[in-house]
Amino acid sequence: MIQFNDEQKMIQNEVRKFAQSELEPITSEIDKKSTFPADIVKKLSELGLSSLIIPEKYGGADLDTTSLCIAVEELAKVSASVSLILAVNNCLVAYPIMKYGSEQTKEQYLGQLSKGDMGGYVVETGFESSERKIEHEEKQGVISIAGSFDFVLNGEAAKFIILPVKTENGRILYIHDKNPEDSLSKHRILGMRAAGIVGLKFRSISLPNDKCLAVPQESEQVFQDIQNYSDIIFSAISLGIAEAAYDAALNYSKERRQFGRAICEFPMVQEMLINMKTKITASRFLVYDTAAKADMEQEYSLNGHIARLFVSKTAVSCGLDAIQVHGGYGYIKEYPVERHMRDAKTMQLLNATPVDLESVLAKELL
Amino acid sequence: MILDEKHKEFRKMVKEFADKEVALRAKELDMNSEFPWDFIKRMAELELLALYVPKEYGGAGLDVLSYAIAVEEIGRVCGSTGIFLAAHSSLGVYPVYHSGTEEQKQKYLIPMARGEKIGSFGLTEPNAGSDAAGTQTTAKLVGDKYIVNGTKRFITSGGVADIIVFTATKDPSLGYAGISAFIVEKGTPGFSPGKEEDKLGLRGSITSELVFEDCALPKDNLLGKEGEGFKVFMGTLDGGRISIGALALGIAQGALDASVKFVKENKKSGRLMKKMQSIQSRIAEMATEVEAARLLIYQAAMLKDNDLPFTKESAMAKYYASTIGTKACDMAITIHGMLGLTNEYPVERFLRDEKLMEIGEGTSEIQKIVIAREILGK
Repeated sequence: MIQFNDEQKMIQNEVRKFAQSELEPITSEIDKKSTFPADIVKKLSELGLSSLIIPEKYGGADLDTTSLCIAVEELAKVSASVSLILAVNNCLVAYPIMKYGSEQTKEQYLGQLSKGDMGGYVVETGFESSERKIEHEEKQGVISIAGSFDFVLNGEAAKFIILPVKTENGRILYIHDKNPEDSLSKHRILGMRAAGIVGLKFRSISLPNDKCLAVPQESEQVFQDIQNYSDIIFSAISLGIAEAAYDAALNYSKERRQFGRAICEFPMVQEMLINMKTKITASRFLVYDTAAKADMEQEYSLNGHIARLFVSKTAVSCGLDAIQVHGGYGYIKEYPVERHMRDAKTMQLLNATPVDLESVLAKELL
Repeated sequence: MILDEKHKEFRKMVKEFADKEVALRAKELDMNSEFPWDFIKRMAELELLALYVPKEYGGAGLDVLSYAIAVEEIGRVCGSTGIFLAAHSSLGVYPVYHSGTEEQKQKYLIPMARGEKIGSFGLTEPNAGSDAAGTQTTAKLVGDKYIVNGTKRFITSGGVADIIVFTATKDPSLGYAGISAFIVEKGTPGFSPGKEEDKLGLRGSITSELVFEDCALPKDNLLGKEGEGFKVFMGTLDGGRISIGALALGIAQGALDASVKFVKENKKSGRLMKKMQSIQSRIAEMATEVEAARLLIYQAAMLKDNDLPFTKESAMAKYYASTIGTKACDMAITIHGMLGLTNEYPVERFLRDEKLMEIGEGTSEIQKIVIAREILGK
């Protein structure tokens, strides 16, 4: 049974209220225009959501993983893009710094995040065609890189970016303060269009040792740990999208009449609604069970991968089914479900694809 | 499926047009929501716009199988151009060819078949989608004219069409029995295309409302007999299903082709993608389902070519091809990973385009009802 404590229930209420009153009116427009919703993100930061898991000592809200999941789920029900922005700031930027940064790094960067700055995170596609774009060299112990990354989450608004650098000995994880010479390129992507996902091209930047979060000897384990943690939070985003798609389909099916009755009375429509609700119910258990394990400092990686695989797939199928329930109306931008489908499919592939997850899962099982 | 030489040659010709011309602008048409005027001109030159219509009426004098192949090959590279061809041929040309008088054929069919005029079909209404008998648009005989009032919605090519076949009822309470089919031309007083839809996919095709406000049509614009509009549109949709199925098949083939190319050219985390079993499994599944869909589509087309019943088979073909098509496009994006989310690759466009195939010209749910009725009886 999923049980939230009073504090968590309060967060759920607050975020839900905020999402409905402030986010709902702009969600369709920021998607259509692919604009990063700076004002909304600023407001959410003031509420503490962009630094939700950062300890109080560094100015954060000091809340747990379950609370973060609740917040991103509620936001994703209204705007998946906004949810992703805050999720990335917490699970892919704050988390690695909290866990692997030096005291000085923590004070500087967690402090920045708590003041409302955005941080970015480079996600690697794993494909050689993308990887070839980076060159690095090492002179007198200082590594410098030049080239471009295809995908930086939160890249548009970020003040600094966490990025991986490949060396002969393995990958290194660095913090790069964005500088004016970095050039950003905006992709036209399927979904999450308002989340500020960009490509980043940079001239030679040197990466001093004090900006290093993980050295080659430990980096694979560090990357995996970050991946594992983000699996929980990203699952919660997919969950929110799936619920939004279901709610829209359910409401529409009650209103739309064909053959003299509401279409929700037809078994084929009911079957779609039942499938959606069943998968969503299972998804919520997976997400919050994994989050609870993380909060109790239990091993959660296996559950996290399962959650990510299942919930992200659920969101895609709910998005597609919600369009189907809406018929022609589902195919146009007057209704939100085509956006839910695009966001769901995009979410499924960020940072880890089903193919990647299957392979990691198989390793853990065997 | 083994095709005879005639169809093989025909496929080669369309494939060349698709690859060398249409494919080059498909991304642009989608990005800029640009209607493919230039390709319509080219398709007219290549005689693709009325493939199964006899030459005497401006057609190519070929068969439905050729038509399915053409829609498939064009859909493989561009869904928007494919849906134009499918709508023009199956929904504009076909009902006039099938149900029109000799005079109507001379006046409307020939210019549509030659591509001098664009055809379209107005059946769906804001409140009559799957339930086509729920038509609210009325056509009342006043003197020797039909006075038409009402609004159609989601009409493919509606905003650019010169000749539109549409349905209206003399009395909404009569259901199917009250419905007749009519022809209206662009520019007729009282008739105008309404707003255009902002769609998920097929963004290079134009989908519009049609608005009738006391639009007076001469009796000669009645298509088929009064009260037989149901027959006209059911016949039209039976054939239309083959073309939507063929389009779904083409887009699915496009998604498969793109995936195969990507897999052969890429390494993932140091491994050749084509050697990865998780990728092989997905490619095999897509390829098998695409091939099965092709057999169903061609079978339905050949039944129609041989004047055999094909209602069940065309419904099965459309239902299956669109279902596995959406799945194939979804899988193709997964294979491309995050790169598949960008429009540097065509697969995200394919998914957006393909989803309509499960909705247009009868949703999958309606297809299942048609199939079940054919199997179980009414």
